[in-house]
Amino acid sequence: MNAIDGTDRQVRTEEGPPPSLLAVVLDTNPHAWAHLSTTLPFSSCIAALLIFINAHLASGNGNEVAVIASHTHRAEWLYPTPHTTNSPLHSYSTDTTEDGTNGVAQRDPKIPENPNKYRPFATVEQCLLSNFSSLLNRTSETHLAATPTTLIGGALSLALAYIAKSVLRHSPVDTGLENPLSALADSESSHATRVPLTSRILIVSVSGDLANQYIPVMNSIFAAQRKRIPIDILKLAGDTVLLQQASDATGGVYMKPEQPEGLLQYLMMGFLPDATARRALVMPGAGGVDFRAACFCHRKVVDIGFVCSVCLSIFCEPNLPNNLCLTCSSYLSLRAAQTATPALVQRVKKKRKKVGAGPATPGASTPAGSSTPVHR
Amino acid sequence: MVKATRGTLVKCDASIKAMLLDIDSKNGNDFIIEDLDEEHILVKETKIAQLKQRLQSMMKERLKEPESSESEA
Amino acid sequence: MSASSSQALDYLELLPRQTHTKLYEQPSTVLAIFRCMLPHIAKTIVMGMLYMPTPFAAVDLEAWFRPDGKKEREKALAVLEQLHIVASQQDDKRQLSYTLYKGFARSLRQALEGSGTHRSFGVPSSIPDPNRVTIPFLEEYARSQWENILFFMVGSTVGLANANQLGNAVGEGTKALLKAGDFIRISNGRVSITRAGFTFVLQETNAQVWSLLIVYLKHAPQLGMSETDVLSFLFMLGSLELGQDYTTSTLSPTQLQMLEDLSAFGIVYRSSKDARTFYPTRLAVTLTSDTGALSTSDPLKSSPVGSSRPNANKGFIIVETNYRLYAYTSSLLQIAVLSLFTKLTTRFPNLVSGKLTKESTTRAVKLGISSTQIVAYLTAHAHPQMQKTQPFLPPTVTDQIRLWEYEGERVETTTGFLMKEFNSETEYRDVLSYAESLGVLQWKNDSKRLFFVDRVEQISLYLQKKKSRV
Repeated sequence: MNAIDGTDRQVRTEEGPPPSLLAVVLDTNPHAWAHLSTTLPFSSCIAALLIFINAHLASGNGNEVAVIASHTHRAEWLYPTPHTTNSPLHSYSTDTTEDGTNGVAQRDPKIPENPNKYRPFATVEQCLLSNFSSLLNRTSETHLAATPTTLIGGALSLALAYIAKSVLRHSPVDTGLENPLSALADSESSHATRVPLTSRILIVSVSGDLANQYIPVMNSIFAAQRKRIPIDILKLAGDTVLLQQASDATGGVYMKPEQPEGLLQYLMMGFLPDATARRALVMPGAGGVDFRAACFCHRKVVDIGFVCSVCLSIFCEPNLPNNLCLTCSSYLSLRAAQTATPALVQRVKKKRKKVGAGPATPGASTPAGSSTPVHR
Repeated sequence: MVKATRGTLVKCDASIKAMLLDIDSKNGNDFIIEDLDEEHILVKETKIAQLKQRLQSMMKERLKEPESSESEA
Repeated sequence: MSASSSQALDYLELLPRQTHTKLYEQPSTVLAIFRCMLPHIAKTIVMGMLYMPTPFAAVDLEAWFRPDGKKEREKALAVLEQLHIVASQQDDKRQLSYTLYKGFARSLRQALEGSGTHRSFGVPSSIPDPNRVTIPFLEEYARSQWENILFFMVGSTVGLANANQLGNAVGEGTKALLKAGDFIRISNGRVSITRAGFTFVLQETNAQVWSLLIVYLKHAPQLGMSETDVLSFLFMLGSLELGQDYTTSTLSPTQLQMLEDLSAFGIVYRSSKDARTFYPTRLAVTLTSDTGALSTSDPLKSSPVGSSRPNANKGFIIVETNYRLYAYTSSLLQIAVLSLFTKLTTRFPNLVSGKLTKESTTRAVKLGISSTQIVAYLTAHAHPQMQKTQPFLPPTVTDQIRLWEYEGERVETTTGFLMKEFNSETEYRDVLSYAESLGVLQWKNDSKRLFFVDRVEQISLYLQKKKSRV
């Protein structure tokens, strides 16, 4: 009974979906891409990714995107270009001249005017490509030789930090009354542009083994879980239980395409739907997740292992050098746990036989070095 | 076979509906296409403005508006 | 999809297939339609199908959706079929499948990839303009042109003395258009606003622009312009960059003619009538986006909050629970609009105050303004201090405005179609649930097997398909 006269169709206030921020973490590990070059060259991956980003931007008027490269020796912003890394000297020297218009002036001025391209798309593309080529130029052979893996943990943290910042920027007008001055300042801004933001992270991963970054990645996963940011994983090559668990814990999509050549279709179908659309869709990846952890000492997937009580690192055997945890170097004596285990099996109820085996041990071993045989 | 009839759906109270039916019957059933239920009738799209107008005048005739007691502060 | 673009969608849906096909030749048009016309789920479906080599089988599509997403799926597919974006077909084994129309798919791909040589996203001028204008100038130009139009409509009704002079600032073409759209009536040189006009004035700016442009579109054929040309030009305008000058050399004669009209509305700016360049204003670039939030400015910099719309969204109205109204404004237009439904008493340099009374509300209702419009206007322009509470307006005030209206108007009318004479209960249930999922159902009576819908096109399409399948 809102409208007494039905002639006003226009007044219906149907709110569109909230804008969505997509943070893409692109694994640019040259070692792994070299392996893939026969099926999916890196250039075509970038091309597909750009189309995917454009599709994302087109799917909602307020949609935003951020792209981070997780390289072998550093995690680097591809889009948007951070101001400070451009050239700190430059901004220092010209501080007085372009004070107010800093953001505009630093925008890459060389974006070619292309009448065949929607301008926001062109901006992202230009930014991404130029930042990436400069990243490659700065990569020396010594960097590559140093490690065969990629800094996914750092890139994830960057993405999370950026999302946190963007969410703050988009949060609706603060209803709290802590600061009346901020309320006055708000009178200039419009409420329409301040709608909550939904965010998600997409990791395009090609590197296999990430166990050396177990701690940073796990911490990022927990942060994402807490902030309700789904982490989607597109695994083009290699396999890590770590990322599988990341998507499972945060409610993201996990896909390991059998044919990486069809990357674009996987992206469009599986990863484009945002939080609003996902509510109506059946998303892939709910299937069998391998919850088993890989041990940190030999990188074997274990059914039962030993867990460091400080950093939760997992080991497949109790013989640690010097009784120190390999990851966090805290004192860790696992031998006591190993001997205690058989005696405890009988004592615990049948149902919880394996799971509950460990926790009863602390009294038996030293407080600092207690450990928990784990079954996951 | 399903049929679609073009018209205007009028939603109103039972009392108003009675008045509308009255107007209709006095004007040779020129307004109403179908009596749907206690609170709804289907009216010819072209006649709706005229029907509303007649209802207004009828209400004015029959209902005495209470004196507008608009207290201005 | 928002209120402003939904009326454009309503218009688009009614176009015939040939027009759609021609429209979809331009990637910029396709991208704009995709961005702002389609429901969210429809976008997802289109993107899923865009790079799919084979038709999308209906069973697979259904499997993709959750059971409780059925309603949204049907609605999305109905819109897509209506716009001739997706075609359904049956193969030899009577399996239903969906494909994208070739033209649409090709153009959308070109838009996403930036390929092709269609040059549909506007050709920037290569010659530097000696009288280059700044963005603040464009903002001011758009705002003043648009407010002139609104003021011309409202001015005489509220009896402002200088209304006739203000009318001079509005071009004859614009006046004729307002008349054609039945927003105003001119009798004896006096301008009076109509019910549709009030609806128009009380809308937000973006919706106003679209309303006017749709009237323009409907009258384009009479002026010898092709609808497709006009539409694609409008959609192209929506994808341009504010503050950039674009060349007129690549435009068609129709589009050149349009430029003149559009500059009268304040949608584009030209330094002179025969200038070889034009600048889109904020009104143009936000045509296909509601907030203009898809800005190309660096997102790491502060958000584009301050630079949103020229005059909309700056809240200035405070309503108290005792129906008193304070509006921090000195704009004659806003005062004029407020005086349509408020009893204004005092005016200060930056503030007017008044009261919402039964008298003022019923007068507004008699003029054809609905309570919903009043409430929507007050909400849209609520002062930031008011916006701290949810809802923005005191509920007592909104309820009372509605009650005042119901005293005057005792009937509620909806134009549409009554569906009757269903053969069986199952048929009735089936069509009813389809109507419900489309959101067009207004009323139903299960025992008589009757229901009423406000749009019938998609339902009749559905019935036809059903018949052909049996």
